[in-house]
Amino acid sequence: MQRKMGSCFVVALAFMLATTWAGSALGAPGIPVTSDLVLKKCTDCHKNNGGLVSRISYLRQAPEAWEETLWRHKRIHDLSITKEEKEALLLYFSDKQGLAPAEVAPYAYTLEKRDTKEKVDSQVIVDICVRCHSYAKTALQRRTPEEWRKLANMHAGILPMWLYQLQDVADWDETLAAALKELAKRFPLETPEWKQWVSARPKIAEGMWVVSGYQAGKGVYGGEITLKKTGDAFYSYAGTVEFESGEKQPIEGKATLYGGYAWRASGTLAGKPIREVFHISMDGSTFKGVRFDDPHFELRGVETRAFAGSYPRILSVIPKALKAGTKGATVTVVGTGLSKEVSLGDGVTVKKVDSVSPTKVVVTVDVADNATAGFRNVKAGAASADGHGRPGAEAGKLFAVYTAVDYIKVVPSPAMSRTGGLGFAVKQLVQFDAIACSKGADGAAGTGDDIEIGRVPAAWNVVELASSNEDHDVEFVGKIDRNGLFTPGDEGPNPKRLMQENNMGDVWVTASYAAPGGGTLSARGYLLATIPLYIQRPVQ
Amino acid sequence: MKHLKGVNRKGKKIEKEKADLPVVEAQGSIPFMHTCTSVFNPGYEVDWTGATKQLCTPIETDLFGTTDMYCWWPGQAPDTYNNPDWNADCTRAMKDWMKLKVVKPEW
Repeated sequence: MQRKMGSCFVVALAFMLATTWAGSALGAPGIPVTSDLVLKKCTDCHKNNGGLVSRISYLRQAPEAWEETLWRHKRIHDLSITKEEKEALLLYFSDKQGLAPAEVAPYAYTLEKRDTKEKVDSQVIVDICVRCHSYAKTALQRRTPEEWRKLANMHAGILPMWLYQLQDVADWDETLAAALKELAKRFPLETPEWKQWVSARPKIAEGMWVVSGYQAGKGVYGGEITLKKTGDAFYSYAGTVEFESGEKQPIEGKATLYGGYAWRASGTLAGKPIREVFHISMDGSTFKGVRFDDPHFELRGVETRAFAGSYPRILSVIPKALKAGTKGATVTVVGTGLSKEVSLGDGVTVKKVDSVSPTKVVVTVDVADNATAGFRNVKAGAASADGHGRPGAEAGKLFAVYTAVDYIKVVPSPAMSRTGGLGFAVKQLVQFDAIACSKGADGAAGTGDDIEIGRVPAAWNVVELASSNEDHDVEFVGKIDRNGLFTPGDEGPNPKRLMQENNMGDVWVTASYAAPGGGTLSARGYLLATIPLYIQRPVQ
Repeated sequence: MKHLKGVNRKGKKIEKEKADLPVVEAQGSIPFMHTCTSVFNPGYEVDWTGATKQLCTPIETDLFGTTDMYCWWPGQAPDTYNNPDWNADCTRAMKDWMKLKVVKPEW
């Protein structure tokens, strides 16, 4: 009996060792590489173990992150690829080892190049990663635990100063170990979102898509574009965008849809070059992202595009607020599956339907003198503002009634501009808006029920924020125009400043608005006018 | 501090006090918006007070001192270890700063 038990133990041990060896040899769980181009270009250095290629098979990331990986290999390891091969590799990796839309959405701001104040609920990740780059850059990757460790080793190799940047961290080895553990937990290679996405990747519908957005300096806008598939992952589009001023502009372009989710386009708006960064929703019915002036990514429309043939929903109401007692106001409802039965909630009476189409309904309304202030649930037939809880809908805050303009605010704040214009650096501008607000039913400013009425015309100024004696930043940092567009100064040392200081500094940007009832409402925002970025990584 | 051990009474007291402290899940925060560096000794775009007065003035005086070869702010300025051509045409930043390239992917 004892002898039998002994042989069982030996067999079991051998089996365990064999499976452990096989697991590590295969590097499971990895993603097998099926592209001849990847195998041809990468496996001279990366070990190919039955289709599982060292490092490569154990990560997923956004298209721009793959581009950064290829770029690094080109610079440091002499990877030789043409532009066409680079595009083919990005398409392959985004398809087989990309991200699910739900994985991208919380961190899309860095791909959309939107300056954002990040919040990270892990000090060890801040210490290890966010000293140099955004948290979003980290969070747009999925790796196995071993692969996260190798990524850290790679950083130590190519950026040796990294370790010294942790000088105020007492136990950097413990901090690194804790960060790697946290990263492996937060961003593993295999996720339910990715599993769902690869099993049911929706096709992008051709035909009409409804546009709804907001562009600083111009206000809200709507529009329609027609999408046409021109290749496996390629599209062309054309249409019209209509701003709240009534100005209509033609838009057209060509797009690549990486991995079935990441829309990267270039084209023109009113003949001027634009670029687009959008990501599709998990159900394929909605794109969200930005359209920006090329090369000024900071001048942009933040936009939603909904397939006209998808479920009924309201995307925006223009204007987004009306004052109690307003008579004969024109209201435009933008969405999909709309009909003429428009309801704008208590105290708002639709007097006339001016025009109706499935994507736009224009009505004339009266607002009762005693209508209570607050947000209304808007409906247009089967379409509502809650979008049945589906993606692309802005739940319940699309339209409101207010009683008075109580204050204005300057957005964005904090804001950041960068010098440029003389050498290779392009100036980074800031388009400010003055937004009129009402305190809402509770009568207190800055609370959750405050109503943003919309963009109002204002007188703009740049004012000194004295942070030292003899602080004269305001004379050098740049100028703001009548529409709130701040243009920073040129880069380089300025001989007119003490110690040839650059045209940088921190200042207030103030807005004054002549309120309809008399008096002036004022607000200010913080502006950091600073120096250029001399490296522009695909993911900052 | 696992590599340090208290050897006298005061050291042991500190060890005990540290052990008695509750474990707190740290909440990280980024001092400024991305794409700013969060390294402030020195900072690149902004100093630790949120202003610009404590940065190198002008930045060109010390730009290469903080980027050759091991860049202090690799998200903002290229390190010449990985990007040797960045300042190839700019031997003196104070004089040739207009020749500083903006490094980005080129194919």
